[in-house]
Amino acid sequence: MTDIIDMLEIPLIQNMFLATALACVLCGVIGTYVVVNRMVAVTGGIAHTTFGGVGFAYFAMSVLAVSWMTPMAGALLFGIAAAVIMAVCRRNGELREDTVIGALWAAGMAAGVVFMCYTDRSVIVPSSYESILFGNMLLIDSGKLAAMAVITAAVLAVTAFFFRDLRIMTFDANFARISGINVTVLDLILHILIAVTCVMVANVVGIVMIMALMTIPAAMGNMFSHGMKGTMALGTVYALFLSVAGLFLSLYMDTPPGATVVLVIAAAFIVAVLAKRAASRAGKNGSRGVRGTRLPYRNQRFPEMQYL
Amino acid sequence: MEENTLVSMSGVSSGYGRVQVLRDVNLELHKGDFMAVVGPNGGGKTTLFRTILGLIEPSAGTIEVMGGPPSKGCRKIGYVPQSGTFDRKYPASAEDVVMMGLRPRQGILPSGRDLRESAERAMERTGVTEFRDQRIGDLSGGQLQRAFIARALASEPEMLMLDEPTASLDPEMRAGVCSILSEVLSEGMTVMMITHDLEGIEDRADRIIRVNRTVREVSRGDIHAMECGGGLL
Repeated sequence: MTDIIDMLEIPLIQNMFLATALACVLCGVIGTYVVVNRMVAVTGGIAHTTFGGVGFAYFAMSVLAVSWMTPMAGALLFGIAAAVIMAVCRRNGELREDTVIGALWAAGMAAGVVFMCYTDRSVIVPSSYESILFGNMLLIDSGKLAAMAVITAAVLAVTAFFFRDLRIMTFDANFARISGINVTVLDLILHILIAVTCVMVANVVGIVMIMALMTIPAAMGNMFSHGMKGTMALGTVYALFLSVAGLFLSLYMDTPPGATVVLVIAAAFIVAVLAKRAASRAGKNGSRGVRGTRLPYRNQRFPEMQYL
Repeated sequence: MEENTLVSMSGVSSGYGRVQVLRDVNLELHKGDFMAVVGPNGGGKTTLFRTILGLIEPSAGTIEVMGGPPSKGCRKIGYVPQSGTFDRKYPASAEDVVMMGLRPRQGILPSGRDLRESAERAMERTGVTEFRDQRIGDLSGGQLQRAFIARALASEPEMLMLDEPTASLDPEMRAGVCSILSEVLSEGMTVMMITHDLEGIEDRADRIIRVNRTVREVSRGDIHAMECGGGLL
């Protein structure tokens, strides 16, 4: 235990915790839209396409000598491009959404592998695919942490601005259109917010395990909250609590932090599902089985309606 | 277009992609009318609604809603969809659903006190106040339908469009929804309602139209034929 406390004084470990906290806030907020709008597959597609961006960034740095194209920038570029393509295809309806997701998912991964084949391996910081795919939080330096903080603030600001419109659109897109909301643009914004969040979370748990952090805490929040804000708040709290627990466990067990965090979250999800089921059964047993609320029948114009 | 004409369709054809559902529709809806829309499944009732609401661009003809294009005019319409098509696991309370109805009037800015009061009034008259904090997944079909009616009324629309508001409701719930509708009608609200419940509308509707690829006004005699199995539905 003393070792773990000593480790917390190491800047890289502190960065790891701070980066996790930032990613968790985004997962709680954006993950809620992913869950309620059934966009888990979209998230998976975008997340895996970012691998192509990471490969492209290393290729650009190594072969094209483009120094500003960091892996994070490359991932953002590819992630946002995938998000735009998915949003446009979803709107057009010419191609099935899952087909587009599958194609981008595989093509993004393949592009990453091919780009890295042409890259000088000494340029690749993690030196292995595993670190990119499964995460390596110890690679988060203060520069990357600052970039993550700025991106988190930007995503939260955009989400807060469009909060009500996003809620209306994700609940009832037709009503959103009738209400004067530009659903095409707003859906595009939501896809881009998801893409940016994916890149943020990839820094923490890696590309392959993004979906766990993006969906499970928000899904748990949805189980125990009545409203969108409550789901977001609970999702953030669950993500933070479980991620920090996972990080401490990984330090204690000397296991990869990203994978450990995901396993802790998955275990908590199973417990939450069982608890919710038990609570529902208890509620059903205790209920009287009558839900309807009687209205006073004020209908004088069509009295026969009362007897329908 | 006359001043009291809220919806005017002339030679309108519309559908989905290459599939034309409605052909050459001519229709006028006047202020204060209660128009019942009947017809067989797949005949184009919902397509007619979607065209009026600006959700589908007509492939031919002209349409005016509240004196303008449907995309603008539809903001003055309170739309009540079929409640059975919604995700009951969505994290929203009945009040959240009603508050969504303020969007056409408030725009992107936060709602003012007058708008919130308007939503409160809509909740009170529909009885939503009693279950306003309940999650939509915990509401009965009738309660959810009332929440949707309250959402439509919250923006104080000039006209209501209801898509089978009593479908799949048990008699008690149907009576509750019908009671609200009757009150709204008695205030002179213009209402257009899709229904399969002919028995209840014959004497109530000012006009009845039958939609089956095209639109035809139906007389009370036709209604009798329908009830006798004449096949008009």
